[in-house]
Amino acid sequence: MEAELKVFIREAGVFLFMAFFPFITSLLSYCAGMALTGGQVTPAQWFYQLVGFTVMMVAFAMSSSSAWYFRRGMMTGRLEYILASPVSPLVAVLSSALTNVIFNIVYFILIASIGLVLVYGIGHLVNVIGVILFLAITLMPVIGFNLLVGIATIIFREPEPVTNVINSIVSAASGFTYPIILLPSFLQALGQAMPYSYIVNGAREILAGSFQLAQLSPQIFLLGYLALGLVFFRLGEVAYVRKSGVHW
Amino acid sequence: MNAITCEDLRKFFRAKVKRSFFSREDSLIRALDGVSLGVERGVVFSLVGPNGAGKTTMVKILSTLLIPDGGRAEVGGYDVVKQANHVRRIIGLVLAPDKGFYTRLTGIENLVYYGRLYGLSKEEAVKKAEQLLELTGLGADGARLYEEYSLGMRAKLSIAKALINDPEIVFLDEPTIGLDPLSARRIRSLIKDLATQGMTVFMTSHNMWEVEALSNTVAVIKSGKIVAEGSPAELKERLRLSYRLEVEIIADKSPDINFPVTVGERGYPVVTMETDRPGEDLVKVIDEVRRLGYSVGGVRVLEPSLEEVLTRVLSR
Amino acid sequence: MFGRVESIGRVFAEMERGLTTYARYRIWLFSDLMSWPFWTIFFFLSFLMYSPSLLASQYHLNAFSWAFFTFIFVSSFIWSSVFLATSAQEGILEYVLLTGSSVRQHMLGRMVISILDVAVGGPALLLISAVGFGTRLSVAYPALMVVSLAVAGVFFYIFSSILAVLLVSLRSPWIIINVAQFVIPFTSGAIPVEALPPEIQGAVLYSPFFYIIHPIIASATGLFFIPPEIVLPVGGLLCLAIYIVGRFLEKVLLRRALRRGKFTLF
Repeated sequence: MEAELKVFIREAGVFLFMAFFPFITSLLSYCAGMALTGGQVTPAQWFYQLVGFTVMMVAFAMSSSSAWYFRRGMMTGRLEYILASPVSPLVAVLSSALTNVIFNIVYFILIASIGLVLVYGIGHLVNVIGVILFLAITLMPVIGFNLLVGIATIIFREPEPVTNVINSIVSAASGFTYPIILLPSFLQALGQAMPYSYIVNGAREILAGSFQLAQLSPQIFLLGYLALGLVFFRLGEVAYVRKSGVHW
Repeated sequence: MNAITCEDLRKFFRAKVKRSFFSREDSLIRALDGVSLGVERGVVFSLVGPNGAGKTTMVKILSTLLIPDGGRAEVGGYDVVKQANHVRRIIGLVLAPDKGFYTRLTGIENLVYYGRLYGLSKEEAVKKAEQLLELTGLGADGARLYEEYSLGMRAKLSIAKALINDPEIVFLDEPTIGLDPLSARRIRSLIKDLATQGMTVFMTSHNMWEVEALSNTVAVIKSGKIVAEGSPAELKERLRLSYRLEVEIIADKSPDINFPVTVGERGYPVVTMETDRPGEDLVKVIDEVRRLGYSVGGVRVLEPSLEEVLTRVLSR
Repeated sequence: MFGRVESIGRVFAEMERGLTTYARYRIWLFSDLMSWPFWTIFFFLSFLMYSPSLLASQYHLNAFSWAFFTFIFVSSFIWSSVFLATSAQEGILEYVLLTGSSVRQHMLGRMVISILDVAVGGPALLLISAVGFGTRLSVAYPALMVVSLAVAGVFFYIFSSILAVLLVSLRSPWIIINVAQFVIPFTSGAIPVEALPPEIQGAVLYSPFFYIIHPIIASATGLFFIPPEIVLPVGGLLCLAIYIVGRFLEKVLLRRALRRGKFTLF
């Protein structure tokens, strides 16, 4: 994890750029909303989208990192070294994913805190602690989800098309920037089957101080993604060792 | 006129050395530290030295992919900085034999692509590419996608690419690295042919046997400085490297002879000695063996190798 | 030294290479076809979250569908910037520069892919919008649309070449491009400028991208905020300006790269 953290720190410029994204896009949308409604928009609506765009960025960063982790590993031969090392390959892959989680929690907290102070005042900042815990738990299934993205990258050998499809589905169906009730029913179902709609709604509610712990229990099923990801990773590893069709 | 001339060529790189978590320090690396040399036309010139000695830096400067910090260099009579475009027209380059191609194009498509970038028409490029595929031994494999190529095939394609513009001078940075013996032999024979046809070959390699077999001139580079230069024979002579003489004696036990004796591979005693006059000393040993009433089982005179030259020069 | 004939030959070589590569990366087209409907939904609803009732406004929906068209346009072009970094990593760029080719010529092969993306993706998006949200497929001024698209194509080709040189050393250029693909169109005319508050309108007019993007949307909707006889020549001048800046930057940055021995700027 130390090695992965170093890599992240060296990309500080990219982090700063990422930080601008939710502000810029939510402000753009706010302006558009203002234009469309003749000024009938509220800061709370802006905050709603700010949180949404931030979680969307987290989703993009995690899926793209996972896809590129595997693709770079294939290109540079690092994946083979990892598989041949005495440490379980899963440890190396999970270390990278956990570093990603930590980084994205820091990222989310930074953006959300600024938005929270601007819209609700400094008093609400205490809610951020709850979000840290919430994200630490709910981003675990995302690791499993992104292991599946990684496996897809290995199969199709191209990270961008894979993440492009995943990101578009995740963005449209997860209710990042609008309530998923606006979506057709099949997309609502798709959104509810993926981890992000729970993450973005939970984060919003915690920040607003209206989240109940009981709301966390239905989300236990999302851990299935972690299990599924680990199972598929193991299958991929075995397939690679046997050289049976999976192009690592 | 020389094909390549360098005068007091210098190149420095700044590397960041980490001192603590927050602080870093700039460290100056002298990749080339006043290199001067001349390469005649139509010869194979090899630059050898340990890793990080400055070989690739030298190749990159001469091929216009790196601007020197001091000194000057001319390739084919053109200045590598001021007349870089002229230099580029007359050179071919292999930097990393397994890089530089589009994986989803076939070997021939890649060659035709580069040929057209050099200004050939499509028909000319196709014709030239086909010739080069034959020359390098790739032949029908040219129709396969590059991503399916083995390392040896990639190295051959790299050389073919370096020749697509009919260069006067080719730079080959470790052209046989990682290749199997057959592929390496094919590439060595190709390099030899190129020199025979009048092309100047500037190569780097860690394979001293290969360098010795191919090169007219060898320069040894160490920490950015040329520390020895000459033909392989000149270098050996200059360093007074000795020949190794081995005379096998057909005898059950070591005879009482005035030369150092060891036990050979077949179990017979072998007179083994280092000498600067192998002919004279060989006669002396054989005479002595016969005088004692033994037969000579075999004779070997081993020339000093370029590897010994390199070891000696680098350990100074 | 390198004549015009050679340059034309290089252009064709790069374009043929781009087309051949594109044809062999079918997964890309497949991924675009898969993702466009989802992105269309996302964009429409993100803007309309503030006022879902506008789903009934034909004008707004039309304007938005063309806004997303410009997004696809800009996105397709600026994503090509990553190509140079990949080319450098794969050791191709150095060999290409050795042939006397320029970065702009090298980028052409990738631009062909962008143009194909827009040619297939743009109409597909408009069609999806029409089917899903009931927008109209008609264009108010077809001739002006053709000119606007040509100006935009030239502008973003040069702009992407500059961006490519700037991003060539980054390990994760995708993040910057991910952000830029939203910021550029939506701050510069993709959102109907006539609907914005006056102070934001003023700010939008300072963006050079506005003079490239606005004519596309205006040609479709028929509502030019600045008359076409002004906005289009300004777009043309911007192309010229960015070409000059691009040539200068390419020269400076490549010289710097050749001095440092690696294609890195930072």
